[in-house]
Amino acid sequence: MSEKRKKQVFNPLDALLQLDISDRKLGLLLLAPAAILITAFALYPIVQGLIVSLNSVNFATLETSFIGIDNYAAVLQDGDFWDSAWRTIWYVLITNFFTLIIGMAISLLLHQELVGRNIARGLVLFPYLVPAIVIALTWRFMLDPTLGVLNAWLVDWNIIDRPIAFLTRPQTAMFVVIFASIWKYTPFMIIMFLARLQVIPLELEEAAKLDGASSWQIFWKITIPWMLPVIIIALLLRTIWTFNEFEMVYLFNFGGPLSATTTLPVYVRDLASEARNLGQAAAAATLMLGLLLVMAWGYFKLYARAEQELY
Amino acid sequence: MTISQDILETVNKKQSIDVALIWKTIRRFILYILMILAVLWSVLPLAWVLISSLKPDTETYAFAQDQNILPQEPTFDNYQTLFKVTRFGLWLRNSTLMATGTTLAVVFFGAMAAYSLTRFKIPGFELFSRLTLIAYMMPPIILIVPLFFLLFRLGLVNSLWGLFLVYTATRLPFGIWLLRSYFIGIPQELEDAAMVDGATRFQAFYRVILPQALPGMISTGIFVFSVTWHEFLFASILLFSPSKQTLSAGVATFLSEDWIYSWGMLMAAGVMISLPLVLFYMFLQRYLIAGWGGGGLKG
Repeated sequence: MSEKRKKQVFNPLDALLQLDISDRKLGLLLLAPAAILITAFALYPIVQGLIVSLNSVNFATLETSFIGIDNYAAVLQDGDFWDSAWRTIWYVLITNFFTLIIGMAISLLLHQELVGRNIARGLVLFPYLVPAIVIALTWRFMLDPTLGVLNAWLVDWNIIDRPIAFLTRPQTAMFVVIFASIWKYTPFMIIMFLARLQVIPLELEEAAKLDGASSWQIFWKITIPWMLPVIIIALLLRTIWTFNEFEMVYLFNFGGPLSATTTLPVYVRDLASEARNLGQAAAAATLMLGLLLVMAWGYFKLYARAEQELY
Repeated sequence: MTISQDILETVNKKQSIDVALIWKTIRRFILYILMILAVLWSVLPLAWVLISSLKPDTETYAFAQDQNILPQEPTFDNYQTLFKVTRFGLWLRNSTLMATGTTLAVVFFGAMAAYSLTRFKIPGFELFSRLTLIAYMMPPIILIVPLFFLLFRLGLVNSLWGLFLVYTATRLPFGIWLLRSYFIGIPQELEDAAMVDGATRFQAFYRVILPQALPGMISTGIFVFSVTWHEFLFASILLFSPSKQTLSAGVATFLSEDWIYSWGMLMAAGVMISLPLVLFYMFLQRYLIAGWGGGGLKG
């Protein structure tokens, strides 16, 4: 008896496995740690952010005084806010379009039975693993007008006459950010798509082949519908992240030159730490959030429909 | 080499070479070319960072003239400078602590929560799922000011513990969201069958569900580790003593200076930041591919 007890004390996992409590308690117990952390550090601050956006904040003492919607009015009347908003939207659209297309192409390619595809699968994920700061370093270095490899080669191949300072020219700086973002985030699509391709029901494909379907038909009638929920989730995630993207934009140029790479998150940061107007920063952030919620709601509807059609 | 072997094998298998076979061979050849291009597109810029980190600065500055791709006199001087001249070693330690701790916490609490949310029909859970999604979409930038107030009240401003809590809480919603999609994909019948056979719910979870969800947990872990390792915004604002800085925020101070101290040293920093991540990933990648190949194939 006492021996048995001893065993239980020394093997908490075993004790846990024998435990049989009600589903309700178990459910709440399992959820509790995550729920508490998320509520305290992610949900509650949203509410506080809303409150701050209705106040004028003294930057030195962090004292607040209620001023109503004045912060929102100030932000909406600021031309820079609208410039940043449009810049953000086309940054999101262009980046996601290309990551989706390239990601799908590479996923389908690496789903084929090729020698060395496992190595290739590992290698194509590298840009995603490498931190934004390193990517900023990399592209700054490669595009440097005096010692950058890309400028040197472009001149050698007579594509350009003389080196171009791509990152310090307002006309080209944002394109560098977009290009690097596509490069960095395509692997995310590959991870998602390959995982889904792995579990595609083979019977479906075989049945279609027996019925004489072409590979083009199989792609559109079987592969794409099967992939659709994951495509929508991946796009939802990437849209949110690209919209919120701070590091990949900011670390390339700190918002410059001449605000050419100032997207909404950079705009909010500048309001907070350069202009030191915390109230307006909170108001701008809240407006960003509103836009995001609208987009997410749209994706949510799409996702529900795609799942419904599949099952 | 392996490519031509593969083609030869294909060719040798059949006695007569018909048109379909030639077509197939050409198609495979194109696929291999595309695969190589995809790999080069992904790794060449990073290879250039590695190569440049081994060059003395004189070679880096001479590149436009002599076009020497490989270092003529490879050297680790850049790495020595990095650790001697800057606080890089300290930043490395801080980022290691943050990324490892957050990954473990998110995978552990996230799997618990995701399982709970997918298996139990308890009033309020659906609402919590939605709220989690909202928390997950929070632009980190919106949280900066309120989090500063909150951490100040808790006495956790400029503290790695405070940053750890913020990281865990802000990564958990994604962890739950991703893990949930894996748990939903595991048929309820598997668990029910185990329970009918006399297993408790814990046993069913531990022996049946967890092995099925492992690829999902590893994917979540890989993701959380990499985003936390390179996190910049929270670290640069919530930590302000130079001795408590993490990698991205620390190295960014080099970039914001008016002139670059040494490109070679910066490339060495890039390699050092990427290397542990790449090694860690390669170690886990095997599990990931194993998970992709087996187990996951269900109708």
